Amino acid sequence: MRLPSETKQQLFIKNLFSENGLLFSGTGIFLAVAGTRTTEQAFFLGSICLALILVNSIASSVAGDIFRYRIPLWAMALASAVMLAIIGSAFAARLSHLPEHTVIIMYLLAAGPVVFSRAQAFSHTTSLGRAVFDAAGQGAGILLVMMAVAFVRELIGKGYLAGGPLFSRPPWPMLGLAFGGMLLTALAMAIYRISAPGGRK
Amino acid sequence: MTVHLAIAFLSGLFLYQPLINFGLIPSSAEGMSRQPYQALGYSLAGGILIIVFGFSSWILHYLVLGPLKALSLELPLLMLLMWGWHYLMKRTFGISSLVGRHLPFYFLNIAVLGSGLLLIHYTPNGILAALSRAIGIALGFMISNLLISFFREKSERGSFSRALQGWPAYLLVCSIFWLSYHGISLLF
Repeated sequence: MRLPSETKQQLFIKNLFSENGLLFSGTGIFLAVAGTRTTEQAFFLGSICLALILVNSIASSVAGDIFRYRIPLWAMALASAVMLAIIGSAFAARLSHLPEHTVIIMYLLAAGPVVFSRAQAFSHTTSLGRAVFDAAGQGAGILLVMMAVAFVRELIGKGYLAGGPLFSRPPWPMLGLAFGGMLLTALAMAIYRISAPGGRK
Repeated sequence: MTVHLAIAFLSGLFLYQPLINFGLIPSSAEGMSRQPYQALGYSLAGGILIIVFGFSSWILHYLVLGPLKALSLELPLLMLLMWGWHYLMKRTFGISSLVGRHLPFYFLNIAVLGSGLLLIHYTPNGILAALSRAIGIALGFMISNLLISFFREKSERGSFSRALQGWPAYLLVCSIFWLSYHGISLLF
């Protein structure tokens, strides 16, 4: 819940930790499950997600604040699809070095509620500054969780640390598969619920 | 030819559906798979949309955009195609039928879009194989949702602590189903 009395910094911190979009409500959970095979993939997809959340929130806030107009969901989704197509073309060479399916997972952001939820629920009714901090907190929170899940998956599933091999054999190769994404995301959510003071019990 | 189509269908069912292929689960399925009846309507609506959208996106990719060298327009056009089929299904089924009631969950749905993209990227071998695989993917999606809902109805409330109820339990159940599908998919 967001209160009008909350400062920009409070909005940012709240979205980053105590009401982290992914851990609190499952927003963007497919990114944590499918887009965390390596830390590089998680960083790439999480950054694009953060950028889209920011752009959509800024557009929504400007439209709401200046023109008193609420951008419809379909228009936002279509604009996101166009942006993702441009990103896909611009980063084609880099995408080819990332794990299989990265392009598909990136394109799925166009239909994922994660990139529209803040813009539709909050940004169109508030000032640009508050919308930016709120969106940045949401995107950075998702990116942080993705990086944490990817770090553990890479370390235990592949035996890699910071891109280089740490173990001669991966301790539990299953974590490198989709199974690991689901298991570790479930674990992260359970830990969050037990430990976060404002989290769901 | 028949063997070729059968393999396309079975690989769609066991190998290329979004759950098994990259653990992709739509957010709406978490809420819709708590009871089998809810899951049936949700799965039917999704299954039909996956078949029609997946097959038409394959046609769009290979028979329209590919020859025109306009693949950079693909994603926005796929979104429009998904909404077009969504609108047609709403007109066909109405809003009060079992399928129609669950259609709002598919206005923007990663499982449907993901199925279309998987079909495009992994089925370059002919129109009938694409249709056969689209049906397999849809059937796999329906079976997965129904099995997960049966499991959750029986087990979730009693067997999991409060910290695990909801999303964590759903992910754990999905991971078990993923393992079983993965075992079968190793045959292909």
